[in-house]
Amino acid sequence: MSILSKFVNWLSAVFLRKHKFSLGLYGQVNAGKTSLANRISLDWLGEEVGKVSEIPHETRSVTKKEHVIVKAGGRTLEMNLLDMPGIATKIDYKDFLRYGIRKDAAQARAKEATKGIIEAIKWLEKVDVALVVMDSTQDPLTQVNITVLGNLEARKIPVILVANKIDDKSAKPERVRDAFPQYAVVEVSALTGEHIEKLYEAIAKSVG
Amino acid sequence: MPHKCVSCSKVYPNSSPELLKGCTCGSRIFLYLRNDDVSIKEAMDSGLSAVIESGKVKELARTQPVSVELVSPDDAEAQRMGEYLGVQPAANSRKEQPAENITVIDRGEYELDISSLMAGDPLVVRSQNGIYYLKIPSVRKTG
Repeated sequence: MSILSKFVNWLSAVFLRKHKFSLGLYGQVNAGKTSLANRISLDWLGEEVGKVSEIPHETRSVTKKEHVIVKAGGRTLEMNLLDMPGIATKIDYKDFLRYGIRKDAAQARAKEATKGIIEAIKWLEKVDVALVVMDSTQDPLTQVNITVLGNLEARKIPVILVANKIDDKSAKPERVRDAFPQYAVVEVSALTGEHIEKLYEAIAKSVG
Repeated sequence: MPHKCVSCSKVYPNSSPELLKGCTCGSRIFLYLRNDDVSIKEAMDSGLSAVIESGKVKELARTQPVSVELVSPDDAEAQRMGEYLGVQPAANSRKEQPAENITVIDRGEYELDISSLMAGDPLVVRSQNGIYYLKIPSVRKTG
């Protein structure tokens, strides 16, 4: 980086109050992480991050969108958006067969998903703020959610809990609040965009 | 997997309510059997009775039913179980922790120990045939 570009960056940081950070989306499989990443990216970049599917483990590698400029809470934020593969304790190719995937392809998918989980865990070192995405229609007290939150806390990474899928009639986002009262919880629908502005405000608040 | 009452040998299937309430004979200690053909007598002869009689399991069973798993009927296994249950272990025994954090159950079927992986433990993969693979160094650069 040249001296001039360093100077420009310094001026931007001082006068435009721009905060640069990496935002990682963690959570269980099919919690709606990619839908949420797409929503954020569409709102601020006008393009999607990745493909959404009802088949578990659609996201099997870390997907990045860099230089996402977000204006929230009276500030301008520049973030790298990191959509992580869903975390799971067990991956079984047989779960994919009922979606019409051939056995060989399902086994390959399971292998890629396992590698993706390890990759997501390694990327924790690069994450400044974590969105832990939970499916409001499901019980939030799971081994994966508890382990992920405990680890983020141990690493002192700021966490925002996202109670997603509130557009679903069976959603009970209050269960997320009740289960994890020590965290900031934002109830959203990545699908419809409901309350998404509250999430941006929470992100702006979390970067200090 | 069946659970067998150590007192009357009555066998209960996995989700029986008796496993939560206690056996109809009043006992609250069950033997969890992986190998169905292991009899209660064989289990007792193997040293399990010492584990149960040593007090800790009985103490636990006063408030809730306790299931004891018998993997193989020998003294070493009984000692391991005893240690797992918090019963006074033999002087030379030590607690066994699984070494692997990824288990390949079958092709396309995996189990992951998320706690271990997130804690940054070295990557240890256990294959279907019991061979362990260690990745050193297991932390590669991201970016």
